[in-house]
Amino acid sequence: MLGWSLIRVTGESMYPVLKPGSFAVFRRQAKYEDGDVLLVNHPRFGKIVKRALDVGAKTLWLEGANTNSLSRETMGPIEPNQVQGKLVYQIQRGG
Amino acid sequence: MIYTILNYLDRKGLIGRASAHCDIPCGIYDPGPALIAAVSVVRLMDIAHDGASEDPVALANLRARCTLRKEEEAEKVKQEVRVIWGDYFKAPLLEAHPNVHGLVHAIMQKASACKQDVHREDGLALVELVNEFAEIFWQTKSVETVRKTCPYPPKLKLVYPVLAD
Repeated sequence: MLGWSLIRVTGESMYPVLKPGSFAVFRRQAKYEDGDVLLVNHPRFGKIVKRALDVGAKTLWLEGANTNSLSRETMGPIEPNQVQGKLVYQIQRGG
Repeated sequence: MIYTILNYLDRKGLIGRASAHCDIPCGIYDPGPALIAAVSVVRLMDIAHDGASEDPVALANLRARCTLRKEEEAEKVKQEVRVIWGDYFKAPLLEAHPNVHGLVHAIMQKASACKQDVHREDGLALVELVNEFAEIFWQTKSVETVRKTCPYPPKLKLVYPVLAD
């Protein structure tokens, strides 16, 4: 939808940044920075939400928000064109 | 309000999902084995107390076996509960059920008491604590529970999930 995505988050690896079951709005950006929470089309894990790490011109790495997450090594480097957008808004239960 | 609308749209399948993947995606946890082990502790105490053989060697053998198995079943209670508590209960669930830490600690202590001695009241208390743990576990799954008398000795009330088809 013109660079915008609305998804529901499942899993706990981004807690407390994103609670399981919350809704999140992502917007495609020209470039991303370390610490951005990204929606990614991962070649192995499908559509996932993770935090950007070591963002470079050709690759960037991913990490979770807590120790339950898949490790950055497991997820491996990804290319910027696999990123669908950066978290810009979230709606939680009661919010 | 917005969440409620989005929740409705999500249930209609209109909103995609993205996973915040965790380390192990198996997700298979069940307090049932812990409950069976807890009941077994009581049963083994009963058998040890009721052993009525006139042969002292046979009686010693029976009680030795009961003691050994009681030790193993009590340890199994601890192991099963520790895994659910340590691996399944994560921050959001702990926020919703802050008493879990204290309950698990009480289970560890009571299971140890059951290993150390043969007081039936300790065994019954262990079953009750694991029942409470099972009820909390199923609450986190939004599954209703019922307490029914188990269909085998020592015929104690246990927590069972009321599962849909």
